[in-house]
Amino acid sequence: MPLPIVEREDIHDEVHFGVFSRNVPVFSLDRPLDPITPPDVLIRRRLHTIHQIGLPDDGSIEVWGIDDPDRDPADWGVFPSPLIRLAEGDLFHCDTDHEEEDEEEEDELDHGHSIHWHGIEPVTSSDGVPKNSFGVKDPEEMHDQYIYQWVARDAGTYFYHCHRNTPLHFEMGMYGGLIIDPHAPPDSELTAPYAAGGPGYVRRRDELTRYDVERFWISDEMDPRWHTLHEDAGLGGFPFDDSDPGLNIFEPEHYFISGVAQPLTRANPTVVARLRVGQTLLLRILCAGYGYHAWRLGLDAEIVAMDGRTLGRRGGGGAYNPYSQPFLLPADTPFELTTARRFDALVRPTEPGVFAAGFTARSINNGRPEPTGRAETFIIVDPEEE
Amino acid sequence: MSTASITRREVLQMGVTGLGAVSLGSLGGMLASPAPATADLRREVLRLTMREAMVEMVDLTQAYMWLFDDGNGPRFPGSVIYALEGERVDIAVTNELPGERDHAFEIPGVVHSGAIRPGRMRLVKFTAPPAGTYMYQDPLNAPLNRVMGLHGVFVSLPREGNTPYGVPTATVQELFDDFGVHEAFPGYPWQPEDTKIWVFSQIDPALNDAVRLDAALDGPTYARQFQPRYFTINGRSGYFASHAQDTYMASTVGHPHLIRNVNAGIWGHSPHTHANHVYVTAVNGRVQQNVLLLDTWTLNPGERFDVVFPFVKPPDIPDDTWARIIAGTHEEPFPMIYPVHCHMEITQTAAGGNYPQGAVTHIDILGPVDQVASPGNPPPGYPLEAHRGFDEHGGHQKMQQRQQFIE
Repeated sequence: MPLPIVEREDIHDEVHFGVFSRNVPVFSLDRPLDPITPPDVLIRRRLHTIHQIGLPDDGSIEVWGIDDPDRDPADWGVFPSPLIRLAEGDLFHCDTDHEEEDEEEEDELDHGHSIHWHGIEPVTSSDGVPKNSFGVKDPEEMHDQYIYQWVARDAGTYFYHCHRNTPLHFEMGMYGGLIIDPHAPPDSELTAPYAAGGPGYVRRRDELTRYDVERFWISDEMDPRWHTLHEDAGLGGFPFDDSDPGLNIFEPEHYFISGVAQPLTRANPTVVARLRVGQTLLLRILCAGYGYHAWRLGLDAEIVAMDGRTLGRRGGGGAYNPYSQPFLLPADTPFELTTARRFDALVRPTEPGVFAAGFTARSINNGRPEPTGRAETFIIVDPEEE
Repeated sequence: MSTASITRREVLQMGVTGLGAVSLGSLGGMLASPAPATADLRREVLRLTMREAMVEMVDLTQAYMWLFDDGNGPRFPGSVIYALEGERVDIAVTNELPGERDHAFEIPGVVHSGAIRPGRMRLVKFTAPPAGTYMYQDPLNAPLNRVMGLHGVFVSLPREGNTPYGVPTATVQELFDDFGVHEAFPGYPWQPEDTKIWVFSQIDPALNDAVRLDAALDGPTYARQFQPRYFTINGRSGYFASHAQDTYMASTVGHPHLIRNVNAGIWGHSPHTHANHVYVTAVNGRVQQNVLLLDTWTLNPGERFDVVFPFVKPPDIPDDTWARIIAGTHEEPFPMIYPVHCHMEITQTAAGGNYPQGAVTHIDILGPVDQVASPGNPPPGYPLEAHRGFDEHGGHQKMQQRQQFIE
């Protein structure tokens, strides 16, 4: 007797089904929907720039970027894509266009890219999810511009990434950090947004805390096989695509902190944190990989925010968070993150020394619990200034 | 409102969804609505039979699976079982799977049936545990039997109060007291109908075929070799999970929704909500003291996370924009549609690609705070398909609306 079949529903509307998966609408608009002008901050970004980055073994790997067209193209190709930093309350516009493709690379099925602002919660058309709104694509096809608009309501640690064919495009490096800073107290010499690396101010509950040194540690890993695929590999459609590019198989070989490959992370001055006894370090940590990343910090840390929300905060637009409180992460205690999770931690060293920090990665498959790789760095604490 | 009516309303809501549901004990009879594979039992024994079946994946690939049948056919995942905290529960579990393997029924931390020999039945008797979200599973040869499909959700409902818990922590109590009262949560208190259950499962058809052919395959080997090609929420993926009433959420602002998440697979998940952060109220049955506000959370295999999606205005929409959307003078019409998806993006695939036909669903914000305290999930008669942009030409209606504004 044949086995009973648990049936899937029918596809009633193939066009709508196609919009959901592949045939994302596109249009070109030199403004946001319902623009508010002028914005407090207007930046420009160019989607899908293509670069090679060097690896410690003298090899290289292809990454894609969301670059700043106002910078010298010689400075493009940083991985991750450039940090965006705003002050709380800023009305933000991001004028986004698309890199021109090589003629040979053009493909009628290419429906471009987008920017999703992870943790930011705007209208659908500024949320950057093509299947719910639209993509931004190659200028050759006249679908080359859109301006995202939202208010930076709550200070915290966020990031942005392309939300088109996301498994591949996020892995390819189309992401960058996004920080919203609280305004400095009136008597401070600092002005938000603060310089990367510190000093600056962060909230602890509803109070401002000054930090001296800041690091944004983004953990990531790369599977080189993925970095040889076409940008539309693995994109759905109707009928279903049976080409099977294997995007359910992820076997990373290279590990990174903030775009610096292990083991260069151990000495790179933009990664290693260095401060004196008596100073305060703010660590912003994001998992941008596709596995479990167990972060360890060699010093006691107080976690003051998660996912862009300040623990214990009563104020704020969407950040009403009084049911939580900051908590201690003891030295060398693993804090395991999965993709897109982040936390902000304050570290206040009491003695000089060199303290190890970094993450150990394991597979998304809990049937394979052994580590797949790691990236290490340090917190260097110098004696108090005399 | 009587406390009993509060506890029963979540069950009533489940009765109209596609996810099967069964209510036991004094909750029996609460599933008045006709629904697929539901049964209402008052002081009777729930009969669950383990059977083999072929389950159609999103691309119509058929995967061999082992499923629980509540008398209305095998279901993937198993029907949700509801009981009232502290009441006696009787479940008769029969092993009708082929081969010589033993099977079992377990709610971890609550009850374990012991081995059920092929062709035999065991009566599982227990007292419904403290109110919260539980998973039932076949725990033998772990995790193989569970991942082959022998899993479902058991919900224990509280006897009183305005939270999903019998003994909430002070902070969880404060959160539920604040819904609809504090200025941060305009609208209404949480209503038990406004609850979703998301069971995350993963399927590796080739490995399941190997199980069918090789009765000796052990759990750890299965887990190591596990290379799933399909990722489901409540047994559906992609387009279907995003358009099924038991998975997607659609509401006006002001109707907080409880989401009971369970991971029945072997891979981890990292669910992410757009539009609002969520409050984490219980983890693996522990009602939380430190109620975190997150946009992404880790859901390990076997784990249960209760989170509340507050359905506040998405906070980064400018106030002026929001006012114009409400007035209907904005190019962005209601409803606003957002995804909820696992951010371990390899789970957004099907058959190795086909993005986004994986573990994804949707949240629709239908409008500002309404004037009626009816449940928001979804409102009665809500025309899901119409608002999603179906028309006779198959065009994307919402895009056309936007284009009209622009032209």
